[in-house]
Amino acid sequence: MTTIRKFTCDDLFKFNNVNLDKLTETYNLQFYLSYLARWPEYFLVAEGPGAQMMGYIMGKVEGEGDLWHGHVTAVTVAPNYRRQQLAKKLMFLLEEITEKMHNGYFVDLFVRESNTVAIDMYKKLGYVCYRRVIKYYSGEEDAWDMRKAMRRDKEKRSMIPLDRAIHPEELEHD
Amino acid sequence: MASSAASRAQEAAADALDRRVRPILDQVDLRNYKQAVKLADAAIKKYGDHPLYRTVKAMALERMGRKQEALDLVTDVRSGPLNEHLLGMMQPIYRNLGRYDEATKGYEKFAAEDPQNPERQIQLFNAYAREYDYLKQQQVAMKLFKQLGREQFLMWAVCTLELQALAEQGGPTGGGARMLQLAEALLRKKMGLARLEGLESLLVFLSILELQHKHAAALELIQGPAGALFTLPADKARVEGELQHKLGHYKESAAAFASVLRISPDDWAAFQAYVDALLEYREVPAQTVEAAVASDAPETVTALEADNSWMGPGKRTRLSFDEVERRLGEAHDLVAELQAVVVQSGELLRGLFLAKVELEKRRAESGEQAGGATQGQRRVAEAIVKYFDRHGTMVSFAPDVRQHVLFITDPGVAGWLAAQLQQAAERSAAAPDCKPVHALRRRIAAAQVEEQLGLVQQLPDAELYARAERLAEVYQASVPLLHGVAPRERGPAEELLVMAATCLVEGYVRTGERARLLEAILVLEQGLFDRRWQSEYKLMLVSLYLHAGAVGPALGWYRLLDIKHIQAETMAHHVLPALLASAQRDAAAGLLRELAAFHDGHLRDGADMTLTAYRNGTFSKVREFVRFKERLERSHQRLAARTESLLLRLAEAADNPTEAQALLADVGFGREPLAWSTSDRLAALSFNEDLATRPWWTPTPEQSLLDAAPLAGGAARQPWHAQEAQSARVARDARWRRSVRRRCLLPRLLALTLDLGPVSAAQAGPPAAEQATHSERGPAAKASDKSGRGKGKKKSGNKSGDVETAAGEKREPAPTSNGAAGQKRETAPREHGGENGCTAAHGSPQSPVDEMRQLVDEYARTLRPDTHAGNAPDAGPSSPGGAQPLDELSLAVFTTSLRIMEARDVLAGSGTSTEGAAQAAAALPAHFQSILARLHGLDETLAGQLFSDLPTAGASLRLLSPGRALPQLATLVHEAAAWLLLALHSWARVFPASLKRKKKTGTEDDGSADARTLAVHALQSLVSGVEAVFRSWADRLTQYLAQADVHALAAALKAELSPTETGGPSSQAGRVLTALQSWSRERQVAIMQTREQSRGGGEEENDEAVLVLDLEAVLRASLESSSEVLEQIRTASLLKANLFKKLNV
Repeated sequence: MTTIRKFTCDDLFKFNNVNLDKLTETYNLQFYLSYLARWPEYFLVAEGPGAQMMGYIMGKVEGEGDLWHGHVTAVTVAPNYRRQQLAKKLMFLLEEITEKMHNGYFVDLFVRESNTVAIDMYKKLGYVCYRRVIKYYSGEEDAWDMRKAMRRDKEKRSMIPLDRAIHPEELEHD
Repeated sequence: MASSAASRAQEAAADALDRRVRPILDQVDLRNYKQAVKLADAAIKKYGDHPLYRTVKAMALERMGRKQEALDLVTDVRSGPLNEHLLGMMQPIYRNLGRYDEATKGYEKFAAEDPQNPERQIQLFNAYAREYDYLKQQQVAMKLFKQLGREQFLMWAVCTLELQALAEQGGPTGGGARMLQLAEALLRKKMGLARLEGLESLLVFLSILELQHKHAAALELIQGPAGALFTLPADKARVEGELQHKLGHYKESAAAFASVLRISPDDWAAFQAYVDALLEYREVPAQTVEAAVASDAPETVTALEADNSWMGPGKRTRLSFDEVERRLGEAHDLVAELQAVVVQSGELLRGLFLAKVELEKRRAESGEQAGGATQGQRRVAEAIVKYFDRHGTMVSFAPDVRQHVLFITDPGVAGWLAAQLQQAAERSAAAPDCKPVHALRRRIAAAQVEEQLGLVQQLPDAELYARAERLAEVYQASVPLLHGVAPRERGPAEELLVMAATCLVEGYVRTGERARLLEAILVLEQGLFDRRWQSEYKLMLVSLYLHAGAVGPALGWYRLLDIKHIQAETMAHHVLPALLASAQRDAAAGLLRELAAFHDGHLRDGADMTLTAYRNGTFSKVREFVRFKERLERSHQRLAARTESLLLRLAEAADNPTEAQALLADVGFGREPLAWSTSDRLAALSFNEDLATRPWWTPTPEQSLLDAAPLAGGAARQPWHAQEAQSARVARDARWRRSVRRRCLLPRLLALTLDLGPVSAAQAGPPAAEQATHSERGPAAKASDKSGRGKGKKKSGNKSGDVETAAGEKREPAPTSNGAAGQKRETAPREHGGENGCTAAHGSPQSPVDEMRQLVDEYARTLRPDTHAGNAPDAGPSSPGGAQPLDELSLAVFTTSLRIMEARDVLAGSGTSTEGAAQAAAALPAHFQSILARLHGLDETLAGQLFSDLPTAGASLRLLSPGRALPQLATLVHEAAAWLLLALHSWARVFPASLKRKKKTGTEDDGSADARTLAVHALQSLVSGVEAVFRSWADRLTQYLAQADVHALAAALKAELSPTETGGPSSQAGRVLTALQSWSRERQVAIMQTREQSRGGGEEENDEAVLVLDLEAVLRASLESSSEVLEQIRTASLLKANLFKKLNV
């Protein structure tokens, strides 16, 4: 009983159920609004039967040429609703949007190197560790840039792991 | 050749300019503003007066707070030749000055110079958007569309038309309707020529039709070629289903939603909509409800709730029961069909299984079946048991079925369901292949439902306590299951401690036994020791600690929740009211600043996000963003924050009338707060708090069962999990509005009180008095007044929210000594007099005494609202549980000020006094006495609650739940007394002159002289009386604190919390803690060690700083708050020294 719909400004007033959890960062308003203004199709919220917020995903589409891709900026699920494959469902939706609306080559995301639970989950969803980004998180922790090819990338070139780690300034996008 | 040479030369010049400007900008970036100004001046001197240097200089001046100079300079630059680069640099300066209107003039001028240049038009459109001037935006958009024919610009025009329609008073009718028609016509014309290009354009078109209730046209639109713009088929089907429902085409609507479910079988909203359509629910007249809520009419809301046609929980369909059965049968078939597919796919989708429960509930709601309501509820219960068999191990089981469980009100059914779930849980736990964590989850789910059913709340004391103990034991036994669960992840049994603490708090609410409160605190602390990221424990602790007077730990845990940005708006209610009523003024001021920064920031920059939406073609977001900005602008929290931070600063100036007057000058001498809280604005307030995060015992900031403890004798109580009825909410909001209005009256009442100057026979009458007063004002007052005038100008140029933004901008530091402020000094007092003295807020002439009379009347009315439905006595935003006696004290103070104003002629001894003045003068002694009497009354009440049974160890438990006494004392000392002291300062200036003259002449024996003498004596005895009360508070609190032996108190409490074998409920105290083994400390030491080892693993270790693990620490925290209040009392006593000198006391 999960309703997935577009995230709206008013949801910001009631996302505490999700954001009070330590694993979820609360960003400033402009951050959420700029995602809503630019990629509203990529900002989705899941609600339970009493309209409780179960979780949400925010993402964007960016890049040029064969780097045109969907990006997962944040995916989060409230503690009460974990272990029921909600993150997977939200990720699939984002992939569907990347394929159907934007015809992207792949979807990527960044994850803390120490967050093995999440890394394992993404692997199960078909993502590979494409490259390591040195000291990506506040200059303290490395990130894995993980990728999954979409149909357009028939030979799955986007998923061939890079043989070296890169520095954040080498990233193609912010 | 020649032209390329010229352009090379131009480039070279630009490069040179850039090279020279760069170092100045670098200094601005480094925040070396002084240096930047110096460099800019040097550059002007050396290279000539280029506007770029001056603009950078203005930028630096603005940043260093020299706002007027910055404004003058940048406006001067604007009058010269402009270019895009220059405008781009000027724009942020104007933004920081809050003067988008001035920035716009630059863009207007630039666009007019080359009217066919689309880039310039776009910039002009942006400038109008920042001012939320929709009409001018529309004009520019139409011009762009005509010129370039692009859909983007057409949509800009359509969006701005929609915004104009929505901005119309009372919704899109009248002029608004014409705007919508025009928008629709534009879109249709475009579609006649070419297809719509994007989904966002279609969404806006649908919204335009929706606002006009043209559902058939909307349906036609999406069924036509434009429907292809929906990329995801489910999205289109959803819109179609909604439109069909609105048109009364229920069958088609159900079919559309069924198709959504076939694509997305777990979509609960689609399932609900599908059943709504099947059962032919009529559409919710949402606007009617909203209007009733907004118009503050609880009766209307109640009536709407009772209306059967209103779709909502517990409402009925109009179909016959047989027909309902038949149609629900259809729904069952669809669910079965989808279940089969889902089960085969192996996907984990719980929706289709809960759907069965929902269908039973719908059936029961439709009534008139055999067996009546009980039978219906029983079938819902049976469906829940089946759902439990399949999904009982899910953490979300209880939240998922909450609505359905709350539907069961029959005690027999409730008992049956609880027993069934418990048995089912035990049965599955006994199965050989049952994983321990699954067994645990089922037990927890069963216990949660038992609580939701209201059964736990009904348990007798002893059983309630036994339950808490049992839950703690289960928790304890579950600790090994935590192994391998990352610290930030949810543990498998966290809800158990929430439920255990709930039983303890309920015990405290019933009995008032403080040991239970303490035990609840320690249980939650223990829980946080194990799972330190658990936010529910923290929020419960915040509330319990605040009640226990331990503000420090409450604030500590609140801070660890890392509440920020928009959460300041939705979550501050957990602590803000209590902090304002505590001695922790700095913490309160900090929170208020955070709130102000959040709001000011969005009001300033929010338009840029709307511009991003226009630019990126996400047109449906334009309206959403504008509404969001308006919702924040109308936030009740924002109003409270502005008012309270002003009052906080005024109260700090209790002994410094000059400073208080400067603060008041900043807000139009108290008139701005009146304008913030006009009845229109109050009606439009938006209440944005997230109350769902509050513990059950305090469902709203103004209600707390803890304060009412003990609530023995089965007093009628709301169920813990009850949802607030709309009518209750309306009544609560109305109380809040009245209360904030009362707070908003204070600044003006104080301004008028402080304006009482000394009177003498030679210069009787208000004008002279005002002059005397104003001469005391410092440069700060003048400087801010100056900026206030600037703002006044702005108001007229701005369309929406002008007065609102006004205050925010005014809070600027006074300019350091500079020419501009100095020059203004001479004229300022006169202007103050003109503004403050005789003109009412609305501009019609009104004498100060008339205005005072009117405001005092209004203040009194807010304390005694009409007693029609739902108008219980108020609780102020700053005063949990209400501060009625303190407000009465303030009322007495302002009434006295009014009488002094009325008696002015007599007090001046002018000999021409009217009868009214004579009467007022004669009444003064009684007024002074009444203030003192009120203070004594408060003293008695508070002392009775705080000190009566000092200092036995058992009684000192009072420290652990001072309830409202300590906050009241703190508020009294800090605030109510502050208004009294400020008034005394002002009154003292009125009297000595007349007193001295009496001494000189000695022989004056007329009645007015007697009246003066009597009044002066009464005032003197009031002052010494006030002093005596303060001194006695200080003495008693000092003694109290000196005698509070934390160690002995803790020992006494420990004894009380040690389980004994003898009978009686209190003998069970401490068992919950014992179950958690917290006394042994062994486990704590072990956890400490593990944590020590894991240090450096990326976890923030300073979190342990606030862990309160023992009784002594809780006690110390509570005592600390008392000490802080004592400190305040001492300060307040010292402050009065000045005053006594003035009055020769």
